[in-house]
Parts: sequence; structure tokens; C-alpha cells
Amino acid sequence: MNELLEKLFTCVEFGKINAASPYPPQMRGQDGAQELTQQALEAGIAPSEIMDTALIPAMTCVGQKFTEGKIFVPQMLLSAKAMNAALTYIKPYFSSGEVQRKGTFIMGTVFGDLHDIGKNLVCMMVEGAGWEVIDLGVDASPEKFIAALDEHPNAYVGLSALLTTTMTNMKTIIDKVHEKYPETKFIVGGAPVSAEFAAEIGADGYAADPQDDIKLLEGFLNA
Amino acid sequence: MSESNLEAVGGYLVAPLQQLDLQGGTLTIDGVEFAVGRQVCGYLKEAEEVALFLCTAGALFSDEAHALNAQGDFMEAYMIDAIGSLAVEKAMDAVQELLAEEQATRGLKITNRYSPGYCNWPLSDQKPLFAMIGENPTQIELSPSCLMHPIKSVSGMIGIGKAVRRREYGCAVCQNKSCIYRRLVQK
Repeated sequence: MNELLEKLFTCVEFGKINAASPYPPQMRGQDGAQELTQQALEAGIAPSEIMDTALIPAMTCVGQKFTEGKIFVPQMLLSAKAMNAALTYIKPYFSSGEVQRKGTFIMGTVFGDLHDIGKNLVCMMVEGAGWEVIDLGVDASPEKFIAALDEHPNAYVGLSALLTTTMTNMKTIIDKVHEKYPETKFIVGGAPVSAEFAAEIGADGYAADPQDDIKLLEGFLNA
Repeated sequence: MSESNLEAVGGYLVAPLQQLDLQGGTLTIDGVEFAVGRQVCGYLKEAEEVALFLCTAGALFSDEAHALNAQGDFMEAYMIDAIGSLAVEKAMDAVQELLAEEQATRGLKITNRYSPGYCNWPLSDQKPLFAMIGENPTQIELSPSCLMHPIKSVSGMIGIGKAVRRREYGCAVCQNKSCIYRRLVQK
């Protein structure tokens, strides 16, 4: 791999956002994801190559380490911020079509529920895996999901709930969306949710952590 | 943020425990039945009275976390959120200590605190709990889905009696394996 891309991979893996960022301490004073992405583009490396060989693999590595319990949420959040710093420079190429994304993922915390940490983590990691993510925020109604699908009819949908009293709202959303978009596939997750519950309410997948969402999404693409 | 969080407020209401059905997992306070489950019933079975409690750390932590998230400072937001959770637990520790001291003067002991949504006590019991406590200085509001506002709030029951006892911290007996505050190392 190109040396710049190798460094960029390391920055995203360890959450080195930019040169000014003091974290991680062993990389203090060095360029971060922000500078290295700029340098890579200036060196003529294709934005799609930056995505495919540095950014996406680095986030995959982060997700994997989190699943294995080798890193914790704060470290994953710093990696996500480093990824965002890099994506600032790559995003113009999404709209120009020079960088293709894998698809669109609409994500929200269901109505009645205001918990957003898990939902945010999923959004960050799925975006880092090369997807366009539409974040509907918390307390999201069925109408909000339908409106988002009106704009992105081929999108997959993720639902998050952290309460036993709000997880049942997942079914309401799935049913209402399916009235208009019967083919839309759903992934559900959150502390009280299980694979059994997901199957019961007609979801297409259950994700215990962000890596599961990514695997399920890739599965939908290859189906 | 100031050194002292003036928004933190908590308290309790002591009521006699009228009936406890260990087998059915229910207990009755002031004519109202709570479906706390067999586990919590087991911890409260020696109690003669219960303290119904509420405590909040206020909205500042969630507001600050929200603002940090909006500007992309995810890690900082997460830390503030976690500090908010610790703050409300610490505030409630102080309230619980007051209760312990107060009951000690009557020669009574207290149990750990138990909350709807933990130890198999359904979250929906927030409704009778809040109804029984009624108007109170914490001004915590309960949403139709039983979520408290401010978010960094706690509610529940503490048993009071001659023969009750406090137990070791509860993670070992809790079934919520995916709780982010779980203190057990998973093998």
C-alpha cells in the first residue's frame, strides 16, 4: 500500500483526527486523518482508492476490535471522528459520482425513545463501511421513515430502541412502512432486542453491534 | 459548568408494605399492586415499609452531550453522558445515606435500591410508582413510554425493616447482559 494511505489507515484505526489533536499520545504532533487525506488527494490518489484501501478497511478493523472487546466505545468514537475528518474531503466525490457508495441506510431511534448513543455508533460505523447514511435522529415516527424512503426508495432501514416499552414501536414502524414499501428490509437492535424478537416483528435481521449491521447490509446486497 | 450541580435533587416517600406475594412476584403499597417480580420480591420480603424514591442530576448533562454531538465531538459527548449517569447515582447514594441514617434512629435497616427496568421488574411499573409519589420537588416527568425527563434520573424502591440487609452490588444477579454499565467480566 502507498505510504500515505498506510498512515491514513493508522490514523483512522487509532483515532488521530488532525495534527492538532493530542490523541493518541504516541502520535502527538504528527499529521492526522484530515491532513493525510488532503495530501493523498494532492498526490493524485483516486478518492475511491483512498476509501477502499485506507478508510473503509480501517473502520472495519475498528469495528472488529470493538466486537472482540479489544477497544471500547470512546476509542471507536475517536476513530469515527477521524473518519469524518477524512470524509469531509471525500464527500464532494460522492455527489460527482466519482466514488460509489454501496447503498443507502436510513437509521433512527423509534418514536417514544430518546436514546441515541447506540444509534449514533451504528450510523458512524455503517457510513465508515462505505454506505450513505440518513440519520432520522431520536423519537422517529413511521411517517418520518416513509418520507425518507420516498426520497431513497431502495434504502435499507435500521431501527434502534433501548426500552422494553418502546421496542414494540418497531413493529408499528415496520408494518406502516411495509404498507407503502413492502420490499423494504429492516435491521433492528438495542439492549432489550433479541434475534427472536426481530423475527417475531418481521424484521429481516438483528444486530447486536455495529459490525452486525454492516454484515447484514452486505448480505442484503449479495442476496 | 459550576463546581456544584444545583440542579441535582432527590428524595423519598416512606409507606407501609401491606402485602408481599413472593410466588406471584407482587407487592402492595397503599392499596396499589406493583409487579416487581420474584427477584425484587425476594430482596424486599423482610421489609415492613418501603421508601419510594426519585432523584435527578438535572438536564445539563444531556443538554451538553447533545450540543457536543451536534458539533461532531462524539467522544466528549459520550463522556459527559457517562458522567451524568454517575452524577445521578452519586446523588442518589447521598439520598439513600440520609434514609439509612433516619431509619437507624428507629432501629431499622434498609435494602439496596431497586428500579423498574432492572432485575426483571418491568419498566411499565414506572406509572404506578410516579402516580403514588405524585407532585414532588424533583419535577421529573414520565413520558408515555416510561422514559424520565431529565434523562439522568433514577426512580424505585428501597425496603425498610429490622431484618432487611444490603447486598453486594447487583450486577451479578442482573440478567441484562448488554448493559453498558455491567461490571462483570464476560468469559
